[in-house]
Amino acid sequence: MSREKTRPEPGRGPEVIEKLVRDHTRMGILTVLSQLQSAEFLFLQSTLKLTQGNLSSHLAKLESAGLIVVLKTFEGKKPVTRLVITPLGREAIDRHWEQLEALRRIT
Amino acid sequence: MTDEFDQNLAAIRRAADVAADYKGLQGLFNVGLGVGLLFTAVPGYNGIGALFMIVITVAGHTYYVKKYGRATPQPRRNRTVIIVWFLGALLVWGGLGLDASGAAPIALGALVAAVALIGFDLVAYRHVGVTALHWALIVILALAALAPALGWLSIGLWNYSLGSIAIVLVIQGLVDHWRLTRAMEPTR
Repeated sequence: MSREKTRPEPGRGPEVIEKLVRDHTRMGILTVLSQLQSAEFLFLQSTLKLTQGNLSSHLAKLESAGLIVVLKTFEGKKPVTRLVITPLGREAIDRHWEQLEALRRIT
Repeated sequence: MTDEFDQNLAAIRRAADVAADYKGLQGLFNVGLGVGLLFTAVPGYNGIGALFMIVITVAGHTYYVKKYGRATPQPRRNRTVIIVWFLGALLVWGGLGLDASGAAPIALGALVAAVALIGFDLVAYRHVGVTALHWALIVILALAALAPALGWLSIGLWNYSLGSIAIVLVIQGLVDHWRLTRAMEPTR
């Protein structure tokens, strides 16, 4: 039996999103998620080598900006957190990588 | 851009590459398949082979889920990997059939498996890359497939093909498992 809960995503301005994405941990989270349909919390923690608290705080910021969706489900009695990148998040991370590549070409 | 900044970007790219190829890097699946095939290649051990295959594969799946969590690939990528794997398995099955009938003096099953592995490796490790060891294993398997033409083979071609494929799968699986655990290792 599994219950699913999706939190709503309040919108944010483009400058705020850009500032959020610029942080390299959040950039890592979005880049990893952009390669996948979804990932569990533990997977992101392992691939990006983050502590639970650190990852949680970054995810909360990304979620409140509407860049990711956090899905909380239960497998039996065990809670499982899955993360999915939103189209806005994908667009933001793609644009950020493009800007970095452009900057690299200039320098 | 500073060196530290570049290093951070490289680390992010590496993490994303591992995430994209996560399924392919779960080497214990190939180890299970290889051990199972190895037993199947030995006459009278078919049942044990299937049992080993199931036990190791299930244990591998549980290990990866508990240790690193689940990641669902993009549907399109998933489809491509499944199609390539299925076509490869079908070709190898055909090759093994020809080995059983003794249609050629070489191990056709192993030869076809070497070709199928090229396709599979290029798809499964599209982001993390095919290592020199993976290429070496393919070459060794192809050469092993030609070896029966020298005439020294004392077992059936079918068993020889299956055994060669199995050994390559076990080694490849162990290498992939090592790559994944190394990539996921916490920083000290």
